[in-house]
Amino acid sequence: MRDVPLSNLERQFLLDALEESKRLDGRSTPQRRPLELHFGRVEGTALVSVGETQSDHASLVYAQASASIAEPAVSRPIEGMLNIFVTYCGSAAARFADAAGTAGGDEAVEVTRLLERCLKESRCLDLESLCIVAEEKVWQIRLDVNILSAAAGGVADAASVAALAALAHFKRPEVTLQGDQVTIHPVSERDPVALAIHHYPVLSTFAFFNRQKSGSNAEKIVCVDPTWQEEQVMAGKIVFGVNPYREICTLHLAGQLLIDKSVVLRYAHVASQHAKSVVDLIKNQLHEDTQKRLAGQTEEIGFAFAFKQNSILQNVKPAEMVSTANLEHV
Amino acid sequence: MAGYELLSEQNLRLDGRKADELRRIQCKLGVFGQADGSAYLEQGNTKVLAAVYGPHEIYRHGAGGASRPTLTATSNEQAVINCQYSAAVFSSGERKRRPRGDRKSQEMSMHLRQTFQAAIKTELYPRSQIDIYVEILQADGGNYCACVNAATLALIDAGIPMKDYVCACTASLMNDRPVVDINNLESTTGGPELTVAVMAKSGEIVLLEMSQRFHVDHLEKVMDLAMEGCQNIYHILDKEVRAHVSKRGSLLGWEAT
Repeated sequence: MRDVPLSNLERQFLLDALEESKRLDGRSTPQRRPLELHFGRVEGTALVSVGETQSDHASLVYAQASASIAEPAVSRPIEGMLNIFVTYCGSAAARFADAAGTAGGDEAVEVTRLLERCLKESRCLDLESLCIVAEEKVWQIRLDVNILSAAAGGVADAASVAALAALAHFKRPEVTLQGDQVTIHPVSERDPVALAIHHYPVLSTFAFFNRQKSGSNAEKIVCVDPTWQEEQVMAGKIVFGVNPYREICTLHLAGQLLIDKSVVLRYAHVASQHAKSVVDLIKNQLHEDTQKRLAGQTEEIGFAFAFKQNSILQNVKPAEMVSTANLEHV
Repeated sequence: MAGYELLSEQNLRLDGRKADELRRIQCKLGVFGQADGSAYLEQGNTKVLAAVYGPHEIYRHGAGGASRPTLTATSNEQAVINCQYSAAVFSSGERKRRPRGDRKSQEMSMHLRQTFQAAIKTELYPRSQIDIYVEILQADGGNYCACVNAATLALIDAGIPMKDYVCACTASLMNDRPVVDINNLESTTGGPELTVAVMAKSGEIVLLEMSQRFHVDHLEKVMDLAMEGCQNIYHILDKEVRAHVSKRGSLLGWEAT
């Protein structure tokens, strides 16, 4: 099925509003949408939503990390492996609704490659610590990223947060070596061990729009965290994968842009600040999750609990005085 | 393979080049008779063949791994660009099982399509399709760049109007010194790799890719060197195009202008 295309009027309206630095959802151009992160009951599962939760205008990404034992690659015999698989669920958007659509086409390839470059090729996970017996057995970490809803755009950003959170949350079984004998302890015998993560690279997308009146040499309008409609209308975008130490792990720029180096450098800095806040979010949520598990509060961990808090049946708002000062008197 | 340095104290790399030296580029336009435009390009040991078909009527079938824009793209106002990147099974050190359709090839196809969508004057050919096929015969680093350069030549050979030459180049960082045009060995064992594709005369960046990680402070000098490399490549390509055109033109009796 095809998505409902954006009409020319809608495009023009969006561009005209951007001339005045106004965006359709009321954000200012450098403002990001709120990001929510929830961990599941199973270790290594994370759900990230961007935008208003559980509405038509939210992007939802679910990531799960799991481990299995495999033979290492011939060229890297003492390292474990990290494999990332991205799937668009049929519910993600109308264009993914039929079986052929779940392959995702160009979009899925782009998100997969961005995640691979950001997480795999930047070597954020310590692969040597995943080695059990050199050249024979290593841990193979499989990261499944499911895009549940792509309606609001910002899928790559949300997917990178979900993937990192899943890796940070995941615990693999403990392994002990006694001489030649390798024992892999089931979870019932020994507590599982968390993965060693060197650094946390986070993806950040910036969309560029041409100013309509002046020529293409004029300064472009830049929007942080574009929505799906903004992505349809943009002249180009930059995706940065930056960690909080301001190291660029991946950079992707495509489109018809006149881009100055200073622009790239400036937004690398902005992306790094976002990475810092994301890492803080992941660490805080992880800490809360660990506390709850240690305290035995098994009722309060997992997605079910997180969703209950947003339930319409439990919406509690404190009473608030409304100011009638500016109302017109009839 | 211990004991070798990617960049020695005399600032020479493993293949004897200096940090800011490009590999030798040899290119030829019009290598195929059947395709509307074709080119062969060698950048060091990387050998690439590009063929261009079009503009012609749009047909939806695509070979495995080709990249085309989604169906919602309006073809009533613009030509549709279809790109396929394929690496021959004998192109790399180990024999490849799939020449195309794997993820890296799909990504490359997508990047090529995005690059040429920006460079070709698509508004001149509404409701048509332009196919660009690129085949890597030998891959020795800088594959994407060689593809972009070869495809530019093939598009010129096909007579498809473009806004400007698109030239691409890689750059990297060794011992905190930027180096240009890295080969396969340097890219697998060395540090980060920055690939940039620019419109030659205006210096507009059409595509910028970076892999592995380096600190933001180094970004500027590496980007500068890569863009300088692109300018040098532009001069080489332009010389070859002019030589090709005057040779063909002299056979037909044109005056060399």
